[in-house]
Amino acid sequence: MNAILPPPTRPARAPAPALGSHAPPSSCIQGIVAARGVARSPLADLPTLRKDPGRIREKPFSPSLLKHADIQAIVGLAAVVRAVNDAGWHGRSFDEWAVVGASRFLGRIFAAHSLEKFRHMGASSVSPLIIPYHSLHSMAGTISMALKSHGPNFGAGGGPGHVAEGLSAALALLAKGDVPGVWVVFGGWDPEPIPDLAGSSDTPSTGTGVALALTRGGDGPAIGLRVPAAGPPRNNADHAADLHALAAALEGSSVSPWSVGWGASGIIELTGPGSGASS
Amino acid sequence: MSNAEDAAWITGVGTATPLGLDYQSFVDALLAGRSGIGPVTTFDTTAQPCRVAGTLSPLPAPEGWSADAWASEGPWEQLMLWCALQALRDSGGTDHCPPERVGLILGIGSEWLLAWERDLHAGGYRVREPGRDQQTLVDGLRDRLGFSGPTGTVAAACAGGNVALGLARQWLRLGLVDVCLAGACDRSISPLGMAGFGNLGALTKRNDDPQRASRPFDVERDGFVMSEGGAVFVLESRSRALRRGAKVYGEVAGFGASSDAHHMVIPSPDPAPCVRAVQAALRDAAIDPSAIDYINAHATSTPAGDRFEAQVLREVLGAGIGRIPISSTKSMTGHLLGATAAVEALACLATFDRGAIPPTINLDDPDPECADLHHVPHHAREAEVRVAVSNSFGFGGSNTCLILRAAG
Repeated sequence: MNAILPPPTRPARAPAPALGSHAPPSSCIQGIVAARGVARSPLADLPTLRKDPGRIREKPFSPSLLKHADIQAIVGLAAVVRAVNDAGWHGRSFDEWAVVGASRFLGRIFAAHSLEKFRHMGASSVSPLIIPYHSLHSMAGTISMALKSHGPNFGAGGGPGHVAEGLSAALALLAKGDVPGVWVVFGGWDPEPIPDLAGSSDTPSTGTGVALALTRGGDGPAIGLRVPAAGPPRNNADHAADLHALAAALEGSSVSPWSVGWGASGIIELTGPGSGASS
Repeated sequence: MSNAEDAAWITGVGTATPLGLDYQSFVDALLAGRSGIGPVTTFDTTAQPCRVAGTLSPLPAPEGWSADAWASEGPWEQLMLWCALQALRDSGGTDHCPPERVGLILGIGSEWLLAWERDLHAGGYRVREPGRDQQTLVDGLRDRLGFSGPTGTVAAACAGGNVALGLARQWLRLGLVDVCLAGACDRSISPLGMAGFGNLGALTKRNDDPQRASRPFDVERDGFVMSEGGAVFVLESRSRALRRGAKVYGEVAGFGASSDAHHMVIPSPDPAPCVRAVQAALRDAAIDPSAIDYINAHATSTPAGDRFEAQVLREVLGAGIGRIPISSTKSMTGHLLGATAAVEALACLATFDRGAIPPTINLDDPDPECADLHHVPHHAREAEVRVAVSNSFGFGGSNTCLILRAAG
């Protein structure tokens, strides 16, 4: 049923239609993972990582770029640095590349501190940095500055489904053909930190950043998005495991078959090296 | 299944803005040159640097909803449902399309921050209870509407609506969906939101004269006016729309985007990256700048931003800058932040079916550095518009441009 008028009470998730009830589309969008990097950091080590998330072309990043960036953006940037260096792309320009930043619950610790200050000290205590540096767009903006990329940059996801949403946005952008490549960068914490009132957290959380440099040709595993006719609904535990699964697949000695749902009905697959797929 | 050669048509619209809670009343107000700005009365603004904004009037329960069920929805959820249901009704519904072939992609900027803040004001402490953060607003909306196709939340700060429309068009062209709801919503007028932008020095200080506070391109402008609302569109392929005899508002004909790669907040002093976004959109739409009939400027009423956009347009249009009518509807709506691009796309569609260009109100004395633009001050102007350009730029150095074309 296509609900134009939803029932006035909160419905359960719509049941998945029967498989085969509609012909699946033949199209599948794909990209080649031309470079990849994974970075992990315990929350307690973030101050150190912020000072030096790594270097590209042996050059440190500007302290002003790193000073106010959200901690997920820092871990994401460290993953990008690893990807660039592992691929040996030391002299490569990313001038025309796009950046998609797919964070999960970005800004929680900074927000908790800001809310606490606001509660006790009022409007004048609110940091002007909170919206620009701690919202969904922020990770992509930070990384586009770090890479000096002048292609599109935007955030995608933001919540439990951030891996699938980031990939779908990046692959669609790549397929449009305006850019030579897309950096899609994921960030998230496990477990999600419980902030204290002073702008920190005692939760033993580890931040994970995963960076994929997607192109339309070349060597590397293919990552693809397929939209089947239907699929089972996924729960939040499935979504939360996506980032770990992606990181593990990329860190493995060979690319393992890996799939993740896109909403309730799509499948994103990392299908193996050298498939030569194109969008 | 690919629709690469098929145009993406808009066949349904839904909106809520300080100027009106549906398309017709919104457009009537725009063309009448009415301001939607007033004092903020929903919370204590005494300590806020800025105390004026464009706020939404209460959204009534849509048809089919009990008052109690509607009241139990949060303000964001109400806004998104309101816009989406209106757009779906307007398009004639989606019974022609299986639910897994209906996509949903919206520009939503700061949903978690605002959810955490709202809970704090209600006496909770959700920011410290991660287990309560289970589902994005967009995923929740998808479930309510009964769709199961691709879903996405995107954010490019004030440019998010253009990104959503650009990606929705791409999903259609790739054959990933048959119908897609796309747009953007924003409800950032909160104590923390206003304080954040106020302390950034971005907001007007004309607290005693709210209706004249938003004055893009005027020499006396002193900052933008926050606003709230949204717009959601139903997109489908031209061939599908023709087959079912759908009403058509226009075509999403082109989308371009770029990054300044300069600063998270301050626009680049070099207009080249922003020029690149506008040129990419024109290229995508396969049109020459001379084909543009109207430009809906991003122009937020900040001293630096409006001047910067004039510089960009000068580079893109050359001599055409004095010929192509340009206005900033933010003079009436205020700046809807994450939703602004979607609402301004709606303003562009209005020029097609009303044959008139909305004005920039409060433009009493154009800034000399923007004086060569072909402004439409104070009053709407009759014009046949077939191609409209909508610029939207955001924090993070994100520049976007959307081209809308009259259908047919």
